[in-house]
Amino acid sequence: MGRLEKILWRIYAGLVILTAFTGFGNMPLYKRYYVSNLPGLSWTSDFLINVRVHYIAGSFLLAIGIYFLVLYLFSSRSHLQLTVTGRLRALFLALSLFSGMIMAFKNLPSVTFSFGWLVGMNFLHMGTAMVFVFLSLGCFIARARWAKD
Amino acid sequence: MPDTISRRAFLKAGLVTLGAVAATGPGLTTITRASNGEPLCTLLDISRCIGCEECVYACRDVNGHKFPEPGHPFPAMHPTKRVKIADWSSPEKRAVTDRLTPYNWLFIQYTAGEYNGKAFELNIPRRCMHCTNAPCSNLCPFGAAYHQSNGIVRIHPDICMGGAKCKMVCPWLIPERQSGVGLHLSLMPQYAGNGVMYKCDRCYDRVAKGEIPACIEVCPENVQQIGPRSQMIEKARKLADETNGFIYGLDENGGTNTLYVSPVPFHVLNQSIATGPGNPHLKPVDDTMAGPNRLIAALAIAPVAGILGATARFKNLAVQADKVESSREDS
Repeated sequence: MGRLEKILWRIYAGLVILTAFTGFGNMPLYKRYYVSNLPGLSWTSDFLINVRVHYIAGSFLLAIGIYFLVLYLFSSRSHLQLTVTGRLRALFLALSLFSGMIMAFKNLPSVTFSFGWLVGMNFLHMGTAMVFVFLSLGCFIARARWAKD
Repeated sequence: MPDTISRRAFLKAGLVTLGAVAATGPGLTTITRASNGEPLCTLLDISRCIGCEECVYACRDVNGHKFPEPGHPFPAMHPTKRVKIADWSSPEKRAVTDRLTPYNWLFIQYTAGEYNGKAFELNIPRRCMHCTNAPCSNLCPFGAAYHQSNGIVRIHPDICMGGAKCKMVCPWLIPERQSGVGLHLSLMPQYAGNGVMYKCDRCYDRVAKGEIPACIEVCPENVQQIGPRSQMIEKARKLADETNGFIYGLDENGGTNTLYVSPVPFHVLNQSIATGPGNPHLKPVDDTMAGPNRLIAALAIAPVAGILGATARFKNLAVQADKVESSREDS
């Protein structure tokens, strides 16, 4: 991994934390549980600011994800091979980013989803994002790597 | 069954059909189906409203079966200081008609004052505005609030957790909570959720059958009309031109499927109405979703940026590899 990739990797980790944090903040929890009372976090109880930060963090995460995907696809397999947990993380990250994009697109004027689709997309986005976050946390604790050495 | 139909039989069938349509009202049943996919919009000429509250009671009668029936006692909520129980289920509170509640989805705001040296008294039926791009439905984290293609914005009581996010992002703070009901009781009743949010669903079940909302049907003064949004806008503009009136709802929150036409400017009316919990204002409202939606461009650009970045990286690596190769050859 080059120096640039190492920097991107740290940015990626920060973005995962920020996207997950603002994602949870889309539920009315932070005011209820005094998170927004913490210094510097008063914005978290404003849903319209929270969703903006979620979109921005999600956009950067998507860009970095695509960057690594392209590198992976066009690299020699002898140089870069994903581990099982790496593949799982990639799958859930891709699903949560894809469903998140659809959820954002749905918010445009004149775009209407049927009730079933809307609930399905919401739970797909929440479910895959939560699995990805907890899987990443588990991998971080267990020091499980994305790629084989 | 005959393959052909005689002229007499055709005329007879036509007359029977016409009679049936006439018997169901002056074409009312066809209005809600004539929108050709365009959202339905209501137009309220508030100069006609006499404040009789027929619409309020019709709404309660027709939608009574959708009202919450909570069981008591309610679970103790945590943290108690932050999560307030909202209980409108007692007979006295259910009877409230002078504000929005989970049992009163429409009420009349009474206003009196002076405009251009003339005294005015107006009555304004108030309920959900059914925004064309409703923040309540866009931002509901569970998809409980949603937007039908016919312009109706609904909250599904079986999915809603009662967190009131819809109310916090609604510029008019319309939805009202009833605690002690809903999905959250089956999950973590004390720690997440707090009931179900309720508001006008513009009689979606009646509209689905081709009927019109109860408040429109019973109004003795024909205050409200319903039809495709473009037609209602045209009518609202014409009415406003004829009466030197003013329109509310055309651009508010990016446009709503409820248009009010008044002979008095809405900023004047807003000063003379009581606003507060359950009493929505009449102020100008910016498009709530415009800011977040501008950022969707960033989401669209992100994959392109990722591909360009990776391409540039490959080029850079290729150049580096060439340099290493040539330095090897030189040495």
